[in-house]
Amino acid sequence: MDLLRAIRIITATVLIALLSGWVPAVPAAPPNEYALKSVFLYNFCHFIDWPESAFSSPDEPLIIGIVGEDPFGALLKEAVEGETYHNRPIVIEHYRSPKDIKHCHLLFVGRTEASRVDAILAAVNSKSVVTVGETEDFLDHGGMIALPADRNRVRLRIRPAALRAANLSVSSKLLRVADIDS
Amino acid sequence: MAISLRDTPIKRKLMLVILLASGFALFLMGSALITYEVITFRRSLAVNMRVLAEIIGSNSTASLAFKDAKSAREILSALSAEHQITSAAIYDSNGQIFARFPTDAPLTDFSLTPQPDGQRFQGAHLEMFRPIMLEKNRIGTIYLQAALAAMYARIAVYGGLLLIVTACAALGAIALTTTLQKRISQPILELANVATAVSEGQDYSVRATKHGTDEIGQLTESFNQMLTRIDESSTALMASEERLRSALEEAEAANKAKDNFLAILSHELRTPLTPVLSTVAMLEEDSEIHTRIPRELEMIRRNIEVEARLIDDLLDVTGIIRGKMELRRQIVDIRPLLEHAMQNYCAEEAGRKKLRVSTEITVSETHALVDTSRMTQVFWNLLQNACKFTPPGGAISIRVYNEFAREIAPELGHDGLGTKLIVEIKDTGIGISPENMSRIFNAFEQGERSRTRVFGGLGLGLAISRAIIEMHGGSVTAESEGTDKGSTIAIRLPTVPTPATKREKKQEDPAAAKRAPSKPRRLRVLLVEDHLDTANQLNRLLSHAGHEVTWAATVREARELVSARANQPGNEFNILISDLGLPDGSGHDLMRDLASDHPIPGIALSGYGMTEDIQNSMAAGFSRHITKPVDWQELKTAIQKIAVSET
Repeated sequence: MDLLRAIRIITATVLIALLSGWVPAVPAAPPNEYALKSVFLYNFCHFIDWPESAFSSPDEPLIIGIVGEDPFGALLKEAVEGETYHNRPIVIEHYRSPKDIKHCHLLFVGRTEASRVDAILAAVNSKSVVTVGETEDFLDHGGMIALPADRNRVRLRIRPAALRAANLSVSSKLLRVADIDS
Repeated sequence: MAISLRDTPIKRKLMLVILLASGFALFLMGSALITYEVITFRRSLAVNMRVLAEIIGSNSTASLAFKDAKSAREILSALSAEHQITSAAIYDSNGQIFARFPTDAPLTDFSLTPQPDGQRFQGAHLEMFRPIMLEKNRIGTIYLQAALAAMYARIAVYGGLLLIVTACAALGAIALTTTLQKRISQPILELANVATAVSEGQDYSVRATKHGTDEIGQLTESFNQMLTRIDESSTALMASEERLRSALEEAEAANKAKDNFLAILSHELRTPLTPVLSTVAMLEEDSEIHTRIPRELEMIRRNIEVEARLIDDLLDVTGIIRGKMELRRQIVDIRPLLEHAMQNYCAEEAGRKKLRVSTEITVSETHALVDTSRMTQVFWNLLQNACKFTPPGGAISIRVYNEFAREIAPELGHDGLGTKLIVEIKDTGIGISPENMSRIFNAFEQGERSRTRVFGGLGLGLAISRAIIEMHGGSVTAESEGTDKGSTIAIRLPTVPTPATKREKKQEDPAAAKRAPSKPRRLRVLLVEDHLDTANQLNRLLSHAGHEVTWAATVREARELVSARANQPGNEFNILISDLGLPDGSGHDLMRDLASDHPIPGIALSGYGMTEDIQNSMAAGFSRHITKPVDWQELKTAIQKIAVSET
């Protein structure tokens, strides 16, 4: 038993050493920030309910829109792959600029779009679109959810009033884990 | 245990039964309750835990989804309100502990990775692993651990309660028993007391009190009925016992009267024989008359002897019946007795009837401890019977032989003990029919009535013989092939070893007997007899024998004669011969009077020949008691004996 376990530990150590040798050194930013955020984005679908009016047809997918530069790479695609929201598949769309924004259900506003936040929010205003930003002041501009990176972790800030105003209901469970901005 | 329980009082038994029953019921009840409680507790605990796990899992989905361990911990901390839950943990989708409760619990208390889903009892704990799902995805695992201490505490409480209830039930049972005892054991105890009183006091008039109509009531009633019946039957029994007793008394009185009557009768029958017999004796001694009518004299004497014999038989039977026959036993050679009997009682009649008499004596042990006169009487009876019942020209054969113990019972050895002498008298006479065989030894029975008339006699011979032989420790048996086929009577007597000195004595005795009568002494005889014929006859016989006889008829006369003679030296009476029943007193009184003033030897003459009578005469001072009719030879010998002892 002990021998077996020892062999395993040694094997694992060797493997890790080999792998780390192959992957280039990671910069100061947490390497898993976007991996986490991609999971968060997908998880929002489970704690937020969209009104029926937000969908034009019963089999319309749930659309996650990314405006501006896409920081996720393949991560988000992997996270939503095969997942559904109330039997609706989840798809990802990219919008180059605010005027490109089309019909979507969740809109991710990346850090790069900080200067165009107001325009972006205006584009989806009065529609049942959950707006998710990355900066602390995103909520001040009228955003609904902010995911500011704080040292090694990603914080979750929510403004329930904005969600309610957009006719979206948010789960109390989500509110419990988030910092409420009133 | 079983024995002690069986013997314990009913009160205890009742108590035990109630205690056992209630205890058993309570035990079953308690066990059922506790079992039920354990089962429900476990089930409810499991359900409770599942619900808790569900709620916590559901509440912590967001925490897991957004990696917020703090909120997960907050959610778990709510479990502090659930006392049963001792620890809890949430594992993330990677199987690592995400949050734990209590927060300060060391990590070692928890499994590093979640175990398979489900509930498990582990020691004093119930453990549960359940998945945490978000939509269809498993995002983590919830782990809950509940302590069963609460359940055990509850069981302890139940056990305690059960104990208290049992104790109360026991107290209640004791209280109940006391009440029940009045209803059940009290009547039984009363019944038992009555039964004891009845059996100890023999008082069947008491009755047990009935307390109800239950089984005990019925028992009491039956018991009372039984008592009533016993009372009735015991009264009846006592009455019949009383009747029997009085009947027995009457019978005994009647029997006594009969015996007395027989005694008086034989006395009265004997008295007239005495003068006749003495006259015949005198006539026989007169040679002139004797040569003239020898056959007539012989006939008279024989008939009187037969008459006297019959009367003696009657007396014997009375004695046997009353158990008063006494034996004077001595060691005697039986053979001479038998030979003497054959010569005297059989030879004559056999000769007259032309009977062939044969004897076959093959015997070595011939001595027995017997009463000589009684044995002679037995032989006389049996030989008489053989002669009497055998028709002329018949045959009588007598066989005497021994039966040795070693032939009968070898373990008795060779010392002569148990050896029997058998005297068998066989005739070719009228025989005994089988139906009479059982009766021939009964007194007054003589086979069929018709024969009594032909052969005469009272039919007492066999009965007396058997009684005498049995008193000697022997037996008498009769055999016959049937009517007119002859019969065999056998006597069996136990023998005794032949005494060594016996032979010498035998030769002395006849010599002494011969010498005594050769010197007859002349005696002065005082004869007291109120019966004139007897007095005259005796007077004549005594005078004839050479004695000087003075006759007195009363006690007073006799006394006067004795005192008168006492004053004439050389002329005193040498002997007193006195009847017992005298007009003015008894011979006994006379003898006692003389004994104090002028003692002389005396011979009593009496019609009463019972042992008791003889003893009375001896007590009064008489040397001899001779039963009437007086046998002259007997009287003569007695006088000679006294005369010899006087000188």
